[in-house]
Amino acid sequence: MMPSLLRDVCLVALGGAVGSVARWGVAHVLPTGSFGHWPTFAVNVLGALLLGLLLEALTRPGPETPRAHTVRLLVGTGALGGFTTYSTFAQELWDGVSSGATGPALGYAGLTLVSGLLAAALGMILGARVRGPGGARAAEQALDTTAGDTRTGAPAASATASPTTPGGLPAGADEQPPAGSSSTGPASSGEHR
Amino acid sequence: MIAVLAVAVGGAVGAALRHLTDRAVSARQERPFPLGTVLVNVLGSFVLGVVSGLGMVLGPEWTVALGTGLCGGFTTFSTAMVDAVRLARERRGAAALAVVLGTLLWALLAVAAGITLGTRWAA
Repeated sequence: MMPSLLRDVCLVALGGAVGSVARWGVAHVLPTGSFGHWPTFAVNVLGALLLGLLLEALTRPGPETPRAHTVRLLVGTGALGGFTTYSTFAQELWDGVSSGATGPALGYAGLTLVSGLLAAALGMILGARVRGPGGARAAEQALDTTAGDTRTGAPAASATASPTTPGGLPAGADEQPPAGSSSTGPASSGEHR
Repeated sequence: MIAVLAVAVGGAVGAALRHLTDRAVSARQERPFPLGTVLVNVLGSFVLGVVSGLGMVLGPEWTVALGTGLCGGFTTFSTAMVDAVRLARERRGAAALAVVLGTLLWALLAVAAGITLGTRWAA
């Protein structure tokens, strides 16, 4: 058995190699256009979304399982950490500022940061949903406080609104008109007008 | 093909160094603030500035290995964003803002300093 630190570093390095090559691939495939920063923007926002999703999906109450630890280091810290880049982002910004294009550079910075934060938050919300029932309760408390309110009100709501209940009047009223002549009534009156 | 290998090796080393840096920094911290992430992003931006300042002196293979590979793998945008959202969720808005804007300002200064230094060394 490898020492845990060496094993962790190897997992991160392996993921980092894959993520960096993927980032390099995106930079070669995606057209830069007149904007010039689309590849960096794309990897950073996509990576923030996926990392938020992964970390939140792996979060469970109690100590981290060995499997979650491996996935977090290999895919999260390694691959997604290596896929995204802050240094290239900073260099592109500085190139803009130093060449006199301060306005576009600030726009690029704001666009990347706002998109990155929203992507991470969206990923975390999605990650809490795909997570197993073990951590769902903690996620609801942390992220979605309204989920608890609807749950407590659920028994009363299901008794009145459920279409499967025999006594449900709205469901019965909806099924009757197609059988009777009343369904053609409103349509014909609409034509006359 | 050599470029892919250079990016892979650089990215592996960069990510491993990031993990070790983050471990070392967070071990010394009392309050959970993502100082490690801020540090790697500022430091990595400085090194990328030096690499780009050196320019032709390094040659294309070393530039892609150190710039795209090492610095790209060492720095991380995704972790910074997730850290900031987590802080905001814990109602630590000032800390979240410090991560987002602090990293940006320090990384910009680091790139500028790196380019200046690299250009001087190359001359």
